[in-house]
Amino acid sequence: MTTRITQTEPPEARELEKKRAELATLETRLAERELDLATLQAELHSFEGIYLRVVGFRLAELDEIEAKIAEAMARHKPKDQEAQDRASQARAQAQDSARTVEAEQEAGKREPFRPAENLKKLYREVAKRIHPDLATDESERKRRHELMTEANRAYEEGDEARLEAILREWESSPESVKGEGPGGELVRVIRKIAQVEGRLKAIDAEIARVEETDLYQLKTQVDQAEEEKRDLLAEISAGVDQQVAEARGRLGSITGRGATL
Amino acid sequence: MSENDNQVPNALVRVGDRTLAVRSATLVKRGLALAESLQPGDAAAHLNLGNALHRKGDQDGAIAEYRTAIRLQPDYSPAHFSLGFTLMIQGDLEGAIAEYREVLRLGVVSFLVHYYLGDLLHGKGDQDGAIAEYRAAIRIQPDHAGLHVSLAVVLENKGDFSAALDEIEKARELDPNDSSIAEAYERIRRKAGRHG
Repeated sequence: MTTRITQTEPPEARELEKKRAELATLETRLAERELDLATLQAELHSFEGIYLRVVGFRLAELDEIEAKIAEAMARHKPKDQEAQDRASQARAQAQDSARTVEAEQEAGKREPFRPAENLKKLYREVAKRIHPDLATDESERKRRHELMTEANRAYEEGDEARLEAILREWESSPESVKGEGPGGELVRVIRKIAQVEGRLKAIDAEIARVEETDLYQLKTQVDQAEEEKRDLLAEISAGVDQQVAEARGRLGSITGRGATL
Repeated sequence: MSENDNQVPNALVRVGDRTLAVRSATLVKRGLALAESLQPGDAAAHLNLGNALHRKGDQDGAIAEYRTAIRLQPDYSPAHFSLGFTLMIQGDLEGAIAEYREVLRLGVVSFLVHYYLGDLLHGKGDQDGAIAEYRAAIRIQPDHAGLHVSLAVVLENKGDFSAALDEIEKARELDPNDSSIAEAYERIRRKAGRHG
């Protein structure tokens, strides 16, 4: 007769297994949502650049002409305080618009953001492994945050090689290796779950905020128009061009220098 | 949006784009307002685009946009007018006449439409039609010297020198310094004297 010694699994080990499974599901979801947010931001960033180049510079031109008109009117009525104020406001707006457009031009030409599937897959992997909310202490969080910021930049620039390097760098770092007993590990996993759940809520809020912005609303309209074979940015530009032509005419009639200023 | 970064713990901060988004906010808001005024299928959007193409010299593109505007809104008189003008400068007299007549049928009161119609009918050799259009234009804008000159010239061509003289005299009164009117006046006056 043999005697079997049954070693009972400690309750924290069973709980740890359940929590690890729960965390794994959450990590996958977190990586997916971070990808959604990063893609949304990158798309908006590139759209903003395209918009400023197509429409923005026209609006800046319109503002410049309107400022000249307001200034001419102010010169014509030197004692009219309202006319002086209008001229100052119009000049401030023209300068603001010009600065915005110039900043965009200095940033260089941007193409629409269309990430390849492999790039997305890599980003998901990076987010899943390196995400700051998977850190267990502040120094690790800081390190993860830095790498994640770099990963975001690489993703937006479509730099797959950089994302792979970030991933390799992380895998070989001491922070990626943890060895603890089931009790300590359970506490660590539970903390991570709470952090990841918090971040998921924050991402939802961030995406909702982005979707409320004028830039997002405008991009949505441009995308919808494209599906209908319309070029909404060209239509907007045409409308602004018309306003510019009318403003030039008004300026010409005020200054008596014709409409070809 | 940069202030929001601080509100979201551990947010994956990307500074550059958010800073720019703040700077471009005013320009984006204005673009959005323009976009919202250009609803899908909005005839005004196609008219605007047509006008922009026209200014750039792309007359075929402009005509296509005007026609789209008219298809979307058949009673949209500005699109008929712009199409008529573009067809006129392209030499499509029949097409231009049809568009200007449509503008009038839609109830628009414009001396310019009658003026252009008069020129187009005159160009086609329809003198009576041209005279009727010039007279209609003059009823709306009686102090336009060019209208009286155009009417006088058609009447002269038709051989009605007396009526032509009346018209060129009105033109001369409205613009006494114009040498071409003065020359036309002398010519018609001589003819009117010969036939009077």
